[in-house]
Amino acid sequence: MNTAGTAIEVPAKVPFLYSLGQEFLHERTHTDRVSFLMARDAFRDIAPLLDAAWTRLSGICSATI
Amino acid sequence: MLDVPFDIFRRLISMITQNQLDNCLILSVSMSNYPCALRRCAPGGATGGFGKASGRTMTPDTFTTQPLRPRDQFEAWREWHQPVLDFLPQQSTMYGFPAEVHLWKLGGLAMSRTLVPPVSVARTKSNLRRDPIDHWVIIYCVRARIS
Repeated sequence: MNTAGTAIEVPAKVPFLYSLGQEFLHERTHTDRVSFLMARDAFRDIAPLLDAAWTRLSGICSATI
Repeated sequence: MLDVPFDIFRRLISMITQNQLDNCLILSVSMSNYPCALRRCAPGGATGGFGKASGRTMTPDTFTTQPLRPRDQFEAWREWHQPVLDFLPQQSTMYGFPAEVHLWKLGGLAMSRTLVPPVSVARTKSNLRRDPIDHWVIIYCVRARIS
């Protein structure tokens, strides 16, 4: 996954969160995956959790640039 | 680690089972049969309960490239995802791109099971401009890897 110019590798069986509101480039091997797509309006109650998880990930990205 | 905090899953499941999404309750999600099986029932339905007997297995929307000519499969997959995503092949698609997606729509939540060959997936400024959807996505790869 390439976000803000930083590559991150996500192995199988590790749940991973991202946002369609951001640019990204994913290089995927042959994949069998399950996805949950969550509208922001419908999940307003857990938005802080999602934002925190995304911020944490962004922090990891920034730290590895 | 890049994993999603467990609390998000706990809250997600809680919202689904408390009928906050689509006027239905998800009784179970079974991964044992491909692609998946979702059982749900309307709250307070005719049976008046949420036992397994009152649940109905949901039929997903399915798109598969397999019935198409091999040379047309990748382009069909690409078109199906436009304008939200763009796809770039990692290898020649002349001899086929056998892929399939099964999508269950539940109001503000959708769940999908996807089988796809190696491919690059992009959401570019052009995609964002043409379809500014900003959903959160949680993915769980049963097999393979994303980098």
